[in-house]
This record gives sequence, structure tokens and C-alpha cells, in this order.
Amino acid sequence: MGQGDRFRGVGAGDVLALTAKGTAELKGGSTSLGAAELELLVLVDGRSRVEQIAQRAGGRSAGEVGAALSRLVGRGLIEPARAEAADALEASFFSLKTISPSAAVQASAEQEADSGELELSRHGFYVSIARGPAAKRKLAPESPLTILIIEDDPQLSKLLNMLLRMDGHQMRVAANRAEIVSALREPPRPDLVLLDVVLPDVNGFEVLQRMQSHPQLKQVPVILLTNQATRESVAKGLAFGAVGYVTKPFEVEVLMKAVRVVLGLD
Amino acid sequence: MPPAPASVEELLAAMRAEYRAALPGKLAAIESLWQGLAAGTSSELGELRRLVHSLAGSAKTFGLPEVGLAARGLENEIIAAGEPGAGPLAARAAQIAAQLRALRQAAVGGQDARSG
Repeated sequence: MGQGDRFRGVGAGDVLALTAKGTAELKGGSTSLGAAELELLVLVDGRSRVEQIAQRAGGRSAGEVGAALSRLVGRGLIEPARAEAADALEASFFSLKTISPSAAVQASAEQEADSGELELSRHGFYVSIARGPAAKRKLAPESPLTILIIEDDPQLSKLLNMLLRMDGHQMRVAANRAEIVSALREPPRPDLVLLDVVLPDVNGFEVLQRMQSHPQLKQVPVILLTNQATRESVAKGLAFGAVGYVTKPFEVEVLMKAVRVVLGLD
Repeated sequence: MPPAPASVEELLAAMRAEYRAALPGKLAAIESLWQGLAAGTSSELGELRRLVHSLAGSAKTFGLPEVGLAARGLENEIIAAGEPGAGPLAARAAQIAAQLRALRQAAVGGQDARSG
């Protein structure tokens, strides 16, 4: 893609960034933009690939959003950016130096795994005693909590998305490595992550470990959604920092209960 | 676009229907991967396991427990075939093919039970 005079249009593979003017428009609550343009400007989210913006815009194609993005470039609200910068964002998460659990954490997780495994077989979910549920809070319509679903089964992801939306939460979904990075860096930071273990190009335990190694993301509680309800996998998840487990296949009431307990809503 | 479900029950009913509609496509993808592996033209045992694992972990939630159980049986065979020292895939081909047939039958049974 060209820049300045040479700019000819936005397409797949291009990377766009908010300009100072675009950032000011967003902060000032623009009156000069239509709703659709403003929404697209929000979706650029600092710096993003066109495909990521299209995905955030409800799964549209890069071609569909390209023309509208071109108009925003023409108005000086966004500008072409270097692709290396966007690639670096993905690389930075998956190249984080991971911190392995200490011997004490490992030993504590091993001890807790027995009760975790038992609770999973009895009730289908387990919330860590050591980390405990969040302090009690009430859900306010004006400040919904954000939940990120990392799940590659499209129907399961959709079901979770819609169920939790009905419960008043703001939802975000990811199904693979690139989408996980994009969803984790999108503001606001999630209040909870529901994390599947077996994913197409990354393992959920690796995502969990990298989140725990990240200065901000380590604060985010993670519930593992897993078919593997063995003592070993419970111990591993707890040692890596998961606050809870939900066994698949799950009953929707069980999943909702686990979410509410971890968020302090129950 | 259909209206948003008004209740959890409505949502579950809609999602169960969507899952059942998607099931033949999921089974076809599993069968295709297995045929490639059995013929030696593919080495995607991990991807086969992921697809079957996904089915094992979701089918019961969408009202098809027999499909979930059959998928779990198939997944166990695939895991055993991928273990270090498991030997050539051909040695377990008969067991995997049998589990795959069981999965297909469970899927047909589940669909019939819903429509019957």
C-alpha cells in the first residue's frame, strides 16, 4: 500500500494505526463522523491488521471494510503503518520468557489436585480454594464485565458467547493463536478468560503460562475448559495459575455457576 | 437474521439444531482425515485427534451424549496410536475404523431420535 500521495486504498494484509487526529476524535466523542465510521475507528484499536479489524467488525471480509477504512485514511484519522509492528505484537506475547511454577507452588497445586479432581467428578466444576473466588460484586448494566472465550469449536464458542451475553457480560472470542493475541491486547482487559486446552495451533496450558508471565495479564482469572479432568491436568492447571476448572462436556448451569463464583457474582 | 433467543431454553434449542446441522460436516472432515492417514497420504494424526476431541467435549452439551461417548472411544484409540512406541498406524487401523463406524452410527441414531 502506498502512503501520502501514493495512497491508493486499503486491502488485506495492510496494517493501519490511529493518527493523532484519529485519537483526538475518539477522545473528544466525534460529531463529524457517522456511527459506522466511528465504530470502525474504534475497531482500529491503536494499530491493527485489516483482517483483525474486519474480524472485530462482526467477521466481515477485509474487502468489505477496506473501502470504509480508505475513507478514514483519506480524512487523516488513520494511516498506514509498518507490518513489522503488528507482527511484533503477536511475537511479543508468544516470545515472552515464561515463568515456571516454583517448587512450593507446584507442591501446593499437587496437594490441591486431589480435592479438585473429586469436585470435578462430583459437580463438573472446581474453583481453586487457594486463589478463591473474587470478592462479592454486583453486575451493573453501565459497566459490564468483559469475558474472553478461547474455544475452537464454533458452536460451543457461540453458545458460551450468547449465554454470557444474556447474563449481562461483554464478550470477546478467539479460536487460534493470532486471535488470542488480538483479543488479549484489545481494551478493556478481560475480567475473566474461559480457556479451552486443545486448540488448533497452540495449547491452552501454554497460553495460561504466557499470561502468568505477563505483567498485566497475570491478574486476569482463567477458568480452564477441558475434557482432561485427571489429577495430573488439574495439578498442572493450578500450578500454572488457573483459578478454576470446568469439565467438558458441561451442563450450561454448571458453567454459569463457575463463572459467577469466579467473578464474585454468586 | 433470526430474532435473538428470549430465554436460555430457546437459545439451547436453537444451538442444538445448529449443532446437529453441522454434525455431518464435522464427521466428513474426520472421515477425510482418517482416509488420508490410512492411505499414507497424510500425517495429520494430531489434527484428527483435535477434531474428534472437540466432538467428545461438546456433543453432550448439545443433547447428543451417545455421539460424545463414541467420539471419546475414537479419541482414545487415536491417542493410543500416537503414543511413543505404538508402532505403525496400520497396526491400529482396524480399531480406529471400528470406532469411527460406531461414531457414525451414534450420529445417525442421535439425528433419528431427534427427528423421530
